[in-house]
Amino acid sequence: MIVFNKVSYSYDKNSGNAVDELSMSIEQNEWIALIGHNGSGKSTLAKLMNGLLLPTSGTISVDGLSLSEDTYWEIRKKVGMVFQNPENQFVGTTVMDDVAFGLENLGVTREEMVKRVSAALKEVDMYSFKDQAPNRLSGGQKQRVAIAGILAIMPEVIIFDEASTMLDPNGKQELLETIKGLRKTKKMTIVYITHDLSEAAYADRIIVMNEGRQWMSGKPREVFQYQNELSEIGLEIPLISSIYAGMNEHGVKLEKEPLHMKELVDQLWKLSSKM
Amino acid sequence: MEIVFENVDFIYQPNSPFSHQALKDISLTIKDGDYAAFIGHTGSGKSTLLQHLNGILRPTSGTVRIGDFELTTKKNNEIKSLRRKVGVVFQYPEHQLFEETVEKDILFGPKNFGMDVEEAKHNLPTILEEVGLPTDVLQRSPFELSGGQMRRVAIAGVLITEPNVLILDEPTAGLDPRGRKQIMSLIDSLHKKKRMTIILVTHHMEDVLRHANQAFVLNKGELVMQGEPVEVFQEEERLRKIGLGIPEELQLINQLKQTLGLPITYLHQSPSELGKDIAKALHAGGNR
Repeated sequence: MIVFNKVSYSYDKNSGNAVDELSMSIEQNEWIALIGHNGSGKSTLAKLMNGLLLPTSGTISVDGLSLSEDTYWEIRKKVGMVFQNPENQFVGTTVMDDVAFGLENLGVTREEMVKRVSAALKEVDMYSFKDQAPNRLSGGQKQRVAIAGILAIMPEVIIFDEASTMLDPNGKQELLETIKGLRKTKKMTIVYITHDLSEAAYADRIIVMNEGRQWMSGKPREVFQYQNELSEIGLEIPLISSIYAGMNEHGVKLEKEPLHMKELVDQLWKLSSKM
Repeated sequence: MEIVFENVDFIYQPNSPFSHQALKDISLTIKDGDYAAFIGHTGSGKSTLLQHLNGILRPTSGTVRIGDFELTTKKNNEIKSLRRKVGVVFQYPEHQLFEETVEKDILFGPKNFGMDVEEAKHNLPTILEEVGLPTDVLQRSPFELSGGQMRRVAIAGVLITEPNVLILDEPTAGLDPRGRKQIMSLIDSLHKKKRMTIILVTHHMEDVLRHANQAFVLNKGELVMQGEPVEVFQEEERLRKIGLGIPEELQLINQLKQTLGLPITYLHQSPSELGKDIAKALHAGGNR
C-alpha cells in the first residue's frame, strides 16, 4: 500500500536528515505502530506518507501512485490523518457539519454526503451526537469525530499522528477500541504513531524509528524482547513485558511472551494448574 | 508552607443560568514538604482547585490558607507575593515561552515580580544545573530546543523565583518515555534536595504510586478519597465507578491474588523485581 524507496527528507540544508535513506513498505490492511523517541523522524515520516511533505530525495508510492507535486492531492484522498490535538481539528458548528466538511471539497452530491456522514458517525459510534456542538465533547469523543471526518472521505489509509497523546486513559482506550472496531468491519490500513509501547502492542507490526532510519521492524512480541536496546534509544517496553522479563529470569517460562495483563494472568493460571 | 482548604466552594458564573458549581465543600491539608498528587478525570475540578492555590481564582465561600496567606471571597492585595511563593508549571508550558533567548525567558519571572534581576542572573547556572540543561542554551532561542528541553526551560523560569510550593499540571504530557523519566526524577530531586512542597496533577496513576506520598481524588467537584497512594489504590472498585483506574502493577497483584491465590505485597519494587517476587510465589505454590 505504501512503499518508501531510499527516502530522505531534511527541513533545512544545514541540519541533518530528519528521514534518512529510508526504504520500507506497508501492506494493505496492515496495522502498523510507528514508534520512536521525540525527534526520531516518525512524524516527518507520517507527513511524507500523505504528501504534506515531499521527499528531498528518493521515491514514495501510495496505492501504486507515485508521490509528486502533481499527485499529492490525489494521495491525500487516499491517506487521511488524525492529529494530536483534537481541539485544532474542528471547523463545523455541529458534529455532523464537521464530518461533512471534508466532503464539500470533493464534489460529492448532497444525497451521497448525507449517506456517508451518517455511515461514518455510526462507524465510530457517535451518531447520537450528530447535532451537538463539537466543543462540548470529551477528548476521546472529539478524536472519534475526527476519525469519522476521515472515514467519510473513504481513504485507504488512516494515520494517527500521536492522536492519543492528549487524551486521558479512558480516552486512549476509547480510541484504541474504535480502531479495533474499524478493523473488524472495514478493509483499512492503519499507521498508528506513538511512543507508548503498550498502545503499540495492539498493532500487527511495529516499526521502530531512530535517527531517521528504520531501526527495527517486527511483531510486537518480537520487538519487546529487546528491552535494553529499546531503552538505549529512549523507549520503554510495556510494564507487563518488564515484569515478565523478571519472572523469566527466575525460571517462569510461558508459551508466548505476554503482550498485556490478560495474556499473562491466563497463561500463569494454566501453568499453575499443571504445577 | 502548609496548604489548608476549609469548606471551599467555587461556583462559575454564580446567579446566572450558566452557573456551575466546580468545587463542593472541599476541606484538605497538604503539609509542608509533602508530595501531593491530585487525580480525577477531565472535569472533576482539579484545574479549578489548582487555580485557588496561587490566587487565580478565589473561593465563592470558605477559606484557602497557604502559609500566612489567606484567600477568601475578599480581594487580597498581596496576591503577587503569593504567586512568587507558589510556582505553577502549566500543561504544555513550552507553549508559553516567548522571548528570543532562553536567558530572557527564564528571567521574565524575576523581572515581573520586581526581584533583583542581577542576582537572579547570578543564579542562572545553578538553576540550569538543577533542571539538567547545559549553560550554552542560555543564548539560544527556546524554539530551537527539543520538547523536553523547552519544558525544562519553563520549569527553570518558575524555579528562579524561588517558590516554596511547586504545582505541576501534567508535566510529562507528550514526552517520550525517556523525557518522562527525566522530568519525574527532576521533580523528585526538587522535593528531596530543596524540600519543596510538590503538587502534581496527572492521569498517570503509576507516577502517583511511585512518587507521591499523598493522593487526593476528586469527582464532580468533591473530594472523594485521600490518603497514601497505596491505600487509595486499594479501593479499585470505588475508583472504577468514577472512571479512574489503578496502576497496572497493582491491578496485576490483585488479579494474581484473586485467580491464583498468590500473596504478593507491593513494596515499590521495580517491574523486574516484581516479576521475581511473582516467580518466587509461584514456585512456593499458591495457597488456593
